[in-house]
Amino acid sequence: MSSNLVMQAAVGLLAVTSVMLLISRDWRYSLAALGCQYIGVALLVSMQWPVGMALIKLVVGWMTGATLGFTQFSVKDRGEETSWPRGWVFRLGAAALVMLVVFSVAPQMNTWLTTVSPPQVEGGLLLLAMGLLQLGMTAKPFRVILGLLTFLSGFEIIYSAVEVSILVAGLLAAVNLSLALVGTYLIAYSSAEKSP
Amino acid sequence: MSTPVVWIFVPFLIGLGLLAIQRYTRLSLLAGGICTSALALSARLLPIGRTFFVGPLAVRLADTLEIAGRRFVLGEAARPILILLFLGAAFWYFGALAARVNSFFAPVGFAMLAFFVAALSVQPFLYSALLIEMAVLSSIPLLAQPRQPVRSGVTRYLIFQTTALPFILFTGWMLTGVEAGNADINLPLRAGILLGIGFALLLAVFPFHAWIPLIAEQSHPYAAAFVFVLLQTSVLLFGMELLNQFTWLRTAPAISEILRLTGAMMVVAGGVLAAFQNHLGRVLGFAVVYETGFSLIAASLGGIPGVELFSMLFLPRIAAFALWALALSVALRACGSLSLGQLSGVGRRYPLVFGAIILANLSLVSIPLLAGFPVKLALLETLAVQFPVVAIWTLLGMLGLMAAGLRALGVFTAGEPAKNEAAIPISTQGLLLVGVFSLFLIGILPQIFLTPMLALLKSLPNLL
Repeated sequence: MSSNLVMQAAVGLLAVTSVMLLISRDWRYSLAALGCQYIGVALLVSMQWPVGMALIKLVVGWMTGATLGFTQFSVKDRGEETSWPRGWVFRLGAAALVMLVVFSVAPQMNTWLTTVSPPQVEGGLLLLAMGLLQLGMTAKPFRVILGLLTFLSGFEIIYSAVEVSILVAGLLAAVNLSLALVGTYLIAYSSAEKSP
Repeated sequence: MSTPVVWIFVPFLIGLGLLAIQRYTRLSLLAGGICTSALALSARLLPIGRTFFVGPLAVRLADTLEIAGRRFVLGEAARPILILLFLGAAFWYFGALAARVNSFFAPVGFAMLAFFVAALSVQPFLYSALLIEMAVLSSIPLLAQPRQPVRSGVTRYLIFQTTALPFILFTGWMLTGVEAGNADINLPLRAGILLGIGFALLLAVFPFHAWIPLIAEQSHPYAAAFVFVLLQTSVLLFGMELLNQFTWLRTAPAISEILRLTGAMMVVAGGVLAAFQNHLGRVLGFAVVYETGFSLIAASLGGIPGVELFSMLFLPRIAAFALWALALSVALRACGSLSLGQLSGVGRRYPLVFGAIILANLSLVSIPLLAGFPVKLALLETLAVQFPVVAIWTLLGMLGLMAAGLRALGVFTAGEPAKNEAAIPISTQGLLLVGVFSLFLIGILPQIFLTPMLALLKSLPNLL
């Protein structure tokens, strides 16, 4: 019972952090949300994986956040998109619609993915959808990387229930870290574009 | 010692080594060319699974390496693929000396090769998606030029390739259920749909192709074409390996139809859209989409003829794109732009460079005597007999790409060229000439150059 409550809380945490990632335009808040998001991911993954292995997700997630954070410190111009849609009300509305779809579809998905528990399906689908939404709303490398990391986190939650392989865990960790490195490269060079 | 160590870990380590001398771009490219040639030669000569002597030392090259419970297997059947990948890469590395690519080309190229070979050797095979993603991520420094703005093509490439990963990996799990005879009758359909979406994203199937012309326009043409060709070759081989491994997928009645329709759509879209482009890089980008379509059509034919045509399409394509990309790089340096509007009359100033662009284009259209002609003629003959409507649509795509080439030819030869253009070094002209002659040689002597490509089929026994 208490375990179920923890998992529901983890899904709630993912909902809050993914919305924050979508709305926040300040990179510090975005990275804080990403860090908290990985706590939720690790909690949901720990339902199927040993805690030690589930913690890999948390550590890797925080490392990606730290990598992106250090790069942001050195960037002078972090100008955000000025094109439509940019208003936080619009993004909040879009996030609400996506959540509505996710929580409506999750029970049906659960009948297809019988080995995956309902909180995992909800959390996984939520991050997949919110990641895609974020990718659809931005062209900035920093935001694109955050969107991709969110999308992959959603997939990792669901995939952890069907695949417990050390090699896959290691490769997924490597993909996450490489994404952060690519983000660092792109952010550093895109900022170079603006400098005189 | 094992084969995965030699052809996965050694290239990766060479890449790391080249990173150390990356600032000496020409040296790193030359070293890269020599090392890829050596790796191709070793793939041709080293005995696999048998003991041989290196001086007094007895060495046995095992074909399997186990890491964390999963296996990387590079046996005799993989030998032709290794030769194709490393020899092709050597060709590109030597060409890069004249193309003035960025300093990451040599190390990143090796990292990509290592990941692609790993992707083609890992078992269970569907973990390849993770390794392809690693190769994609490592290719970003080639496409996003240092000290230049990050353009939309690179971010789209990153997004499309990364979103493909979950689809393929998840299909892997579903496929095991299908193979095990899972009672759910909808499982094959779901697995097929997910796999289709994953491959559509990976192969830039129309309408997921937007990043290809964007990158071809915004990035260095040589680096972009290198990534396109390497990614396309590896993903196509990955796809064929999937068909080879999963009986239910291979025998599904709809699979041939889907492949054929998708392929025809890509040929038409790539060819016709190429005719309307005003940037030579974008024409090359659409030609990549067009060529992927031909491979899908060949794969859809099934049986020995289809698989043979599929394997023989690789060499003419690699040769044409290498020449095209090299000529575009030289043209960009000489004229400062690849927009047709600014290339009026340049063909008279640089006949070899712009002639090479047109020849590469026409080779992909399969004009007689050029490299693409023998295979595409055979493909069209087969299509005309079995699926005449698809053959007509395919011809339309070919006409589109030919129109793009002839339109460019018209621009290159009309008007007066600007006076203040740079000279082309003799070595670069020599490389372009080698490229042009190779297109003619492959086209005139297909039995010598294309027949060895059939060895690629050794790794696909179930498709024969």
